[in-house]
Amino acid sequence: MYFDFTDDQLALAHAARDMFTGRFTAEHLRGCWDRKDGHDAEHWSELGAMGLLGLLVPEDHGGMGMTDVEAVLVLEQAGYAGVPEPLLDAIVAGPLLAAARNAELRDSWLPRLATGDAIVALQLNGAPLVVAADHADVLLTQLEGGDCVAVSGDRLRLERQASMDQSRTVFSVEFDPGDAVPLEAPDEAVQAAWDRAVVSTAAMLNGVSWGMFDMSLTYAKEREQFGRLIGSFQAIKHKLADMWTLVDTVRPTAWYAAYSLANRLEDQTQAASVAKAAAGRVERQVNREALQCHGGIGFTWEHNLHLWMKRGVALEHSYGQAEVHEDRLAEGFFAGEIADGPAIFD
Amino acid sequence: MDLTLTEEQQTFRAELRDWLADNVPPEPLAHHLTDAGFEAHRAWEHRLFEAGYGAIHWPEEHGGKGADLMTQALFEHEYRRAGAPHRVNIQGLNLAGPTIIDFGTPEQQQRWLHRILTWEDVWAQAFSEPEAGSDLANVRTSARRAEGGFVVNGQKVWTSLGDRADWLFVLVRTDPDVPRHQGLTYVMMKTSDDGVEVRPIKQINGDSGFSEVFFTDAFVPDDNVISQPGDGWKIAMATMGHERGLGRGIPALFGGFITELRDLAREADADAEIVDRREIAQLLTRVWAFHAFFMHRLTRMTSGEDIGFAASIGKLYWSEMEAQIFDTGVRLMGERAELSPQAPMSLDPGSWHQRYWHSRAARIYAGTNEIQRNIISERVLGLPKEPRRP
Repeated sequence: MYFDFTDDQLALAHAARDMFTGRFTAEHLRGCWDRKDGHDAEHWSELGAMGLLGLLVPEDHGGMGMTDVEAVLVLEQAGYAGVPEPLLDAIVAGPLLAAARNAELRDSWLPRLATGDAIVALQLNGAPLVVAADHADVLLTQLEGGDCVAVSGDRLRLERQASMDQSRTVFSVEFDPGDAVPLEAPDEAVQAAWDRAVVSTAAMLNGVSWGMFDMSLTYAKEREQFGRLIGSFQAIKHKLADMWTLVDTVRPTAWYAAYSLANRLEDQTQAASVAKAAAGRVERQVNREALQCHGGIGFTWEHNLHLWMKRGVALEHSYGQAEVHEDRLAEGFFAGEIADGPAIFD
Repeated sequence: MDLTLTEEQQTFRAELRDWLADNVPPEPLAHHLTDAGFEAHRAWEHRLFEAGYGAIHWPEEHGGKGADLMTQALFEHEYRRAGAPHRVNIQGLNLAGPTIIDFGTPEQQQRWLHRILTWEDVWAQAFSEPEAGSDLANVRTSARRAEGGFVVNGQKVWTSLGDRADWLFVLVRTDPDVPRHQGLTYVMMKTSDDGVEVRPIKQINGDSGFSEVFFTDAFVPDDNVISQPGDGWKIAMATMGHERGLGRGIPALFGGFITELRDLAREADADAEIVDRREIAQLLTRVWAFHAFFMHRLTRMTSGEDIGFAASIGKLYWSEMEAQIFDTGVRLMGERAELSPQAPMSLDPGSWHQRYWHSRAARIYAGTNEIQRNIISERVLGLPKEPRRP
């Protein structure tokens, strides 16, 4: 019974944080906002070189062959650092492609996904918005029946949808059915892809919340009013205590969901919903309180807080906002199909 | 990350499950604060003791199993799942006992520990005073040096089970001339001694869960002093650390509550359109979160990490969650929310209202949540401390 990370896993998380905060600087993020594009070829290939894009791709296809437990740690850090690249999409797409029985499709895309030579966009469960579709070499999407198909990037008809998070390029997408190539992925793999996207987004959201909390704590320890630090006033102290309690207690939900997914436990879908619902609720509250802690300065374009707040809003509503997952959980719980806790001791 | 149990843990669990299945009373015992109920709970504690399950966390030399944290958590999980009776001797088993084990002399351990285990002696905590609640260092109950011991004068309040207790662990001031946190001494006193008077206090849920204790020239022999005079604060903090630790914050407890809430909602659904299933699902996610958080924390502690003041995060989290669960239950009773369980039209399945009020105490006992937020912000986050009296 060991619900914690190994030294290697923690080292990976540290390396990811160092790389993300070191390369995706505030200056770089502002540049993305100015260009209205979060993708940058150089940064993307560095992610590839570090093995992060192919984290979940099997080693025989050029990936790291790691599990969701490692992925969730990396994605937390990506959320923390505000990484604007479609890293999540790459990580989720890897195992889905790897499960494709269409060997030609799988073998042609998987190694390139891992190196970063190819960018894969993702559209699951009929999501109306596709991230970075303009940069995609291939889109993995689902037809109405649920079958997973691949569409070449140059066969997509895109309409740009401006996001309040100006580092996100999101599109509505159309294509001719004739251009859709079936992956022939088993249902189990398609369900896992959804669960993975949900857990991965939850992990990123937790990172975003963590980042906003850290900014608020730093500010409270620097800003003075009435002759003392604003962090010495109880109202601010208590807000920060509540924010930290939220962040500290929500992160393990994504870790458990990742563990469940990685080990194909029976509660993997439920655990994913729990993680996403919890992550969304926490982000909403931390988002609100972070602005309060910053006061007027937090309301300026110039200050970086809003970059995280808007990323938070975007991720909160991706792959099912809290209400959507809570409704599903309610249905299952009231039907007696969901336990009152993860299967940790049972 | 590996959530499987070792063979040893599996064996322990299997044996425990069997024992609980064979021994847990099929009907709930009478409330432990009634005379009959108290005796029934005492008898149950004795059965636990005879089966070796009385205090598994105590060292073997003192009658426990020397169980590690993970095994303790397993025990608590299975115990709650089995719907076993409320552990009424918590103060003896988890507070006084460990304090005597950590700080007592062999002679004191001989005298007191076994009788705690067998439930021959009931113990209660006498720390807080009318002027010393959150500000515990403000203790004024005095202990004046006398021949062979101390003479105690003063008053304690919020002494849980004070009216049932045989022994009290008491924080007294032996030296009023040194800074507040010094000059305190930890003593054990008998409620039956001359000069000790216990008066039960009625709580808002009708229970007399705690009492006032008045000391009028009550004598404490030197033999009943724990460690040295002046060590009181340090030992009291250690005792309270136990309270904040594994304590009440057991995930399966809240798993039980959320399941009851669901069942209540199913019941109320027939009559009221107030039930908000989404809100209940939200609480469910918080219960799941607490499971995961607890397991992570337990793993860290098992690896030797001293979580220290971060224990306040857990207490803040579960107490707010508990209060929310019971609050939601009351609200979904609609116009019948005001009815006590005895009312024929009541939707209360038995003890929901009583536990609703008690759940609100969760934000107050073991350190109010305002104090917990101070601790988290100051000791965990490093923010400036509140202005304090020297």
